[in-house]
Amino acid sequence: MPIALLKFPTDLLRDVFKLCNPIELYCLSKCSKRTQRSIKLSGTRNWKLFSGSNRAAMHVDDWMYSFYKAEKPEAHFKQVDSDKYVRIQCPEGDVDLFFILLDTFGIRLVGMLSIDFCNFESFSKIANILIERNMEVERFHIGCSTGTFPNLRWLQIYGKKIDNQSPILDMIPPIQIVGNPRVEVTFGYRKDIVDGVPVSKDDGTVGWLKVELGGRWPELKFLVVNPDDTVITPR
Amino acid sequence: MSSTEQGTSSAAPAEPTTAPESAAAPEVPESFYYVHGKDKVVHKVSAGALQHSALIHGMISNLGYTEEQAKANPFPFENIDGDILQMVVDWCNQHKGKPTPPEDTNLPKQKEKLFDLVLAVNYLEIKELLTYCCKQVAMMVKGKSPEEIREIWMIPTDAEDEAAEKEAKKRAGKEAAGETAAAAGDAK
Repeated sequence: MPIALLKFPTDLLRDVFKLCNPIELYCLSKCSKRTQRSIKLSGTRNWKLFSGSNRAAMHVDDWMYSFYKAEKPEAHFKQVDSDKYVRIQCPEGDVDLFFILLDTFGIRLVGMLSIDFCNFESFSKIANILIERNMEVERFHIGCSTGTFPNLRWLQIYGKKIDNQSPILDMIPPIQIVGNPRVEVTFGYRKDIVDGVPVSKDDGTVGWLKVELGGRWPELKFLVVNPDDTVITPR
Repeated sequence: MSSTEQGTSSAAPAEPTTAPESAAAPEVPESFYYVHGKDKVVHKVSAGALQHSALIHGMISNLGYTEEQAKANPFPFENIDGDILQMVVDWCNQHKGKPTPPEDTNLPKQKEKLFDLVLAVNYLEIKELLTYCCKQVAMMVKGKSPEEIREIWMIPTDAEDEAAEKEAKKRAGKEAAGETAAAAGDAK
């Protein structure tokens, strides 16, 4: 039996929305502009959003809600529901999906911005917009789970959250080589790592990591070696 | 005006079995109040059952009615259908003086009445029942696609919303023009 939800007073609508999970609210927001506006106006939520390539996830009350870009239109909004885990296939991916979820639910905290398997352009676009909005990102994740480096050559981050508490590539700074051999790795103009730490992956690729905690802005540099253009010089 | 007597059977106090007569606490007679909905059918409800409704509880506290005054002045809820008020009264009686369980099996099952029930419960400020009702409403769309949700919750499409908005603007314009013309006529 249908029920005219939008005829409910605003406070009642808010009560119903509070009892819906992120996937139900996402589907509701896709019904019309009005439903999307109603959800936005029903207030911000203390949910954490996690991003990756063509997927996003929300962790709420011990449940994980995952949103994936569907390859085929017929798969749109198909849901899989298992213990403590709900997954839905969405028409959007990457940047669009991330910001639809962020804005619809009024999320203020990004739990993790991940670039494992992700193309770097999406990561960069999301990061830029988050910086413009002055939003907090708890953790950046440079992916290693697939045994390969993400699709990038050079990464340089300045940030106060680079500290001796948070692991980077599973290592807690300060990150140094035992014996401290001096090596300079260069790739292109002003893209160099001096006295960094080599990190190898299952597929044989090597990246060099340098984390400097001192100074006004702690700095992370990461370079993925390409034998064609990367020069490694002992010092 | 007809009348039903709800909640009176549970008002009879149980006989004390073990406590000596001298130690027994003095029995306070339960007070009753009367409510009616749109159909004017009066329901007699104990004060204990009405505790669930913050609205009625506030009215009772403010008015300080005696039993006779309460009987002569049933609380009128003209915006609530009689059968819906009956459901609410039944629920209040079933949960009189009891902590409400997290999942309520005594919740009215008629889905077609859910919309009116939610509005009535919201108006009467019965917090626990409202939570149960809202849960039922939310459960209706579990695992459903946007198209299915649109049907279940009767959500108009963007085109329908735009048409309704245009119509409302047109009507408001006509009404404003009518008022201006009436004011001009009065001035003459």
